[in-house]
Amino acid sequence: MKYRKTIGVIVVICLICISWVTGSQYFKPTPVKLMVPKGWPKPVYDFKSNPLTKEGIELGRQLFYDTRLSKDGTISCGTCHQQFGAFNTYDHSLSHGYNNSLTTRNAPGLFNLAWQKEFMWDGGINHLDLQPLAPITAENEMAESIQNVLSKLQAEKEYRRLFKAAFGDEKVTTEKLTKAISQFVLTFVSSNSKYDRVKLGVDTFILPVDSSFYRNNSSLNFSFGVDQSSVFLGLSFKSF
Amino acid sequence: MIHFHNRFGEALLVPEQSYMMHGDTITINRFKYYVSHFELTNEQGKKITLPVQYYLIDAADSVSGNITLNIPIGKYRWIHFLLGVDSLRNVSGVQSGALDPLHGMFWTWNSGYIMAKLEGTATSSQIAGKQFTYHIGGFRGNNNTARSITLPLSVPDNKALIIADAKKWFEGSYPLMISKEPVCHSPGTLAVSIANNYANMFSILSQQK
Repeated sequence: MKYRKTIGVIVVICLICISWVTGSQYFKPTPVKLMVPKGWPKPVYDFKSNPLTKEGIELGRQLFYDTRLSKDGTISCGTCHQQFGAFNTYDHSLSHGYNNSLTTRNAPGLFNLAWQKEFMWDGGINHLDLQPLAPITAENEMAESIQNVLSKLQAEKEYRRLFKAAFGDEKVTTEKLTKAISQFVLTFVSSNSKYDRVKLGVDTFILPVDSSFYRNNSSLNFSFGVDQSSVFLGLSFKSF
Repeated sequence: MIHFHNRFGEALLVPEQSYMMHGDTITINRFKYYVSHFELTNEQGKKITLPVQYYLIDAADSVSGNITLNIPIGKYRWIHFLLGVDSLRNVSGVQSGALDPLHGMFWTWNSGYIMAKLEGTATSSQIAGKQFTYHIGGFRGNNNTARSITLPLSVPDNKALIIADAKKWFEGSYPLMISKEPVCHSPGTLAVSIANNYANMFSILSQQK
C-alpha cells in the first residue's frame, strides 16, 4: 500500500516533467537587447509586447527577403528596401510593383524605426507591426492577400521550424509574421557612423587638405567645418 | 448565450438574396460587424462587466452569431455592448483572433478597424456594377464610429436573441440614399452619419425557451 503511493507520486512527477519539457515552458529563444545609442531618447516601440530574440530577428530577416510574400513570387520587402541604400531605392522616383505596375511613391529608407511613431510618407500607419500589411496587400506593390501569405509559409517545413524557434509553435499567424518582420527592421539603427562619432567629439574629420594633390591644385580649395553649437555639418566648395 | 440574428427589415438576411426598399431592389453580399465589451445590469441595478472579448459577426456564417458569455446566475434587465472596436485596439499593432487583420475588417494603409461593413448591389446605384459599399470606420474623436448599445431584456432569461437589421443603415437620423452616396470607405462625416443610423439596428426578439 505504501509502495503503491510512492510509485504513484513518482509517476505524477514524471508526467509533470514530460509535460514541462514538451510544453511551451521549454521554449527559450535567445533574448537580444536593442542598444540605445548614447544621447538618444527612449524608443517609442513597445518591446514588452514583442521582445527581440535572435530567432525572431532571423525569421524576420528571412521574411523580409522572401519574394513569396508577393502574389507572383517576384517581390520581397527587400526588393524596394535595398540595404545598400539605407533600405530605400535611390535610383527610382517611384517604386516598382506587381505586374509591371508603378506605385505612387518611392519606398522610404528604413532605419531607427524604434523611435518612429507613424509610418509611410503620409503617416497613415500608427504601429510598426501593422506596416508590412500595407505593401503586402496593395495591388500595385506585392498584391497578395494576408491569408495566402500565411498559407504559403505554413506549407514550408523550413518556415514551420523558424516560427517554432521564434515563437514556440509552428502555426503561422498574422501577428507572428508581422512581429518577426518588426524585430528584424528594428535592428536597423544608424548610430556610430563617423558623422555621429564626430558629433560626440570622439572622432575628427581629417581631410586630405595638406596632401600634395590639393596643394598643387590651387584653383580648388575645400573648406570643411563642424559647428559644435548647432550640430550643423557644412561642406562647402569654393573656387578661387 | 446570445444569438445575433441578421435581418433586412422583417426578412431574414441571406447573402446574395434580394430585398425591396423604397422601390429599389437591393442584394446584400456582405454584412459584417464587430461586437465586444459585454455588460449586464441586473434587477437591482448592479452592472456586471465581462472580460473584453471581440466577436466578428458575419451574415455569411450563421455560427458567428452565437456568443456564449459566462455570466453569474441572476436576473438581468439590460444588456450593453459595443458595436465596433475601441480606440485602444486601433492603435495597438497587430491583433489576433476576431481582430486579426486578415478578416478584411482592417484598413492597412490608414490604420484602423472597419467597425461594420455592408456591401451589395442596388438598382438605384449609379456606379460600376450597380454596387454599394459601406465600410464604416474611424476611431479618433468626433470621427469615432463605434457605438455603445443598450437593450432591455424584457423577460429575464439566460438566452437572448438580438436582431441586427441592416435596413436601419438607410433609415434614422441620416437618410442614406444609395443613388447619391453608394460608397463610404474612410472615416469622416458620412461614416459618422451612417454610424448614427446603425446604432439603432439592434433590438431584442421576444425570448423563447
